[in-house]
Amino acid sequence: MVKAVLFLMIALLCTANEPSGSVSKGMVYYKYLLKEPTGMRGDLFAKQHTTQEWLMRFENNATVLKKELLAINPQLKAFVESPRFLEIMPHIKAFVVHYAKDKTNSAQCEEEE
Amino acid sequence: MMTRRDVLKGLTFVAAGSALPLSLQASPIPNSTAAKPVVNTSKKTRVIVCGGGFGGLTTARYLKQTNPALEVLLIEQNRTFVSCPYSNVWLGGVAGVSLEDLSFDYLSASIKYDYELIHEVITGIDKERQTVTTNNAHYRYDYLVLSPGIDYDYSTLFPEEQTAKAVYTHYPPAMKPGSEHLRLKKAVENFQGGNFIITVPSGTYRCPPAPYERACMVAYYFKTHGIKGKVLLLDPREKPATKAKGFLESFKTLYKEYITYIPTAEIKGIDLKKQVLNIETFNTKTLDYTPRNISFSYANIIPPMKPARLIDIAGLERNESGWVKLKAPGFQTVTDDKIYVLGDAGGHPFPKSGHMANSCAHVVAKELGARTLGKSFDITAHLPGNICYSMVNGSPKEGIWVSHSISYSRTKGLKATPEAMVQRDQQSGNAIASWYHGITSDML
Ligand SMILES: Cc1cc2nc3c(=O)[nH]c(=O)nc-3n(C[C@H](O)[C@H](O)[C@H](O)COP(=O)(O)OP(=O)(O)OC[C@H]3O[C@@H](n4cnc5c(N)ncnc54)[C@H](O)[C@@H]3O)c2cc1C
Repeated sequence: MVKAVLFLMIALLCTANEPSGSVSKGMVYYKYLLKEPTGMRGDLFAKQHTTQEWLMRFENNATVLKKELLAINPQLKAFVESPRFLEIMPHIKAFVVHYAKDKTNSAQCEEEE
Repeated sequence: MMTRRDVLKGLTFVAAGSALPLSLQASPIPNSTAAKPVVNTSKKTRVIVCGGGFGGLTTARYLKQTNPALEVLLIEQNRTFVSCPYSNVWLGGVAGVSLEDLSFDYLSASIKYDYELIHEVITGIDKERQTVTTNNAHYRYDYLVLSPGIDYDYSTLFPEEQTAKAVYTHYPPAMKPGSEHLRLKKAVENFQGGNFIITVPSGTYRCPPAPYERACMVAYYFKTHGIKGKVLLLDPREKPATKAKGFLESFKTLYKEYITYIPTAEIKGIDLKKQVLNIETFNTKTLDYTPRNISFSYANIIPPMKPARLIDIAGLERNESGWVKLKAPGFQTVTDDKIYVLGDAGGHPFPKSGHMANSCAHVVAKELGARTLGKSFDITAHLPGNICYSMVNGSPKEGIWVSHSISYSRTKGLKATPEAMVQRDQQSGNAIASWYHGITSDML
């Protein structure tokens, strides 16, 4: 019984960690809007942090993430403060969380020929 | 291999949902209200293999070979084995490939390799009592191997259950064998013209090249039968999930008039009456997604996937992406080390392919065989591997392929790395039949 409750709690925690954005959209947005300014490929960017670390970075309208992006490239200021950034944020979040450091998912761009 | 008559007979059974027990041992009479007896109380070590697909059939055969003293019982709900690999080649009407080539009987394999077989639906797994419950009885096990494959997950595409059901009924994904494939074949053969949509699922799914190979084979059929149809291949990615170069080159050179590849396509909804699919695609000028409506004469809608329901029934812990969490580099589940999971339902970062399921099953058979003999076994010296062919042209037969090697380190875990990658050629096209006959004769 205790085992079953524990299992349910873990299952709930796991689903709570899955953001509502689209992983594939996040990957495309990252490539076109953030890859050049950060100078980092999407899969490598996502592998910078664990799931928990990423979730923390997206709290309060991504306060920590914004700061870190500005530290990498101050020219991103206008973009991270625009409503557009807030709009695409759920997708970026879904993408980085899906490919986070602690996940076994590997971005399919690894199959680059 | 079966005759056409056997195949049709088998498919009728499956379609009718027949669940009559067919056991090589004395089976209790099915009675849903009576308490189900526990079948077999022998003292021998018993392994139950759940699911007679690529993973399960290989495990049953090779377990018995590694430790002949084991009692191995395979439980499979279908009475006929129908293969997904090679089904696209059949779909394209490539000369010399028929439904008989995809279909096999289970009984011959169980006789040849000396394991028990029953055709029942597994409805429960009790980990404490170590029993498997079917529509017919309870079966005791010492070890359990699950290779139940996948289920479809329509929830993100069509959250409304009614729509999801209607889409499945009218436009089945045909990523599970049997009746769905027959419906798709009919749709291709009866196609009168217009748009034939194929959608590629997001996330990790069964057989990454299958939708792209299917696009080639449907286009091949249109081309060789003078059908004025266009295959619209909608992919949420920017390029094919695998063998991108080979597929894109094939679309452009072999099927310029027949295939339009639409990348970054996200499905937003469907109007089943008007036969219109609502999608969004990324516009590289505005740097945003813009909505589009595409009308279709037929659509092969392949939704995202999850492990088969049996995994929920067994109450096994899953990883963040929903696949079963395993103790790397092996195949024991983190939930219960008497339970192994392999094939598409497993959570290792391997391509979900029949070849991979077969290769992993060889490893599981060796490891579990050794375990039951009280011997040690070093999995890192027996890691599985993968090779994946796709037919892109039917005449001359031309194929492309990729192979993956698997590595393991304590710090980085398991990793699948693409190795050889061969672009379109006839040698690969001809190798597909040899690969297929080789792997099926290893299991059946
Ligand atoms: C169109 C297409 C083309 C493909 N081409 C290739 C290819 O060229 N090469 C390749 O390597 N792979 C290919 N694949 C992938 C391959 O088919 C799968 O990866 C493989 O079948 C996975 O094996 P499995 O054992 O995990 O599942 P499956 O082979 O699906 O077996 C699962 C079995 O479990 C049974 N089962 C499930 N639940 C229950 C239950 N409750 N009770 C009883 N029985 C149950 C099912 O009936 C089924 O028989 C292709 C797939 C598709 C769809």
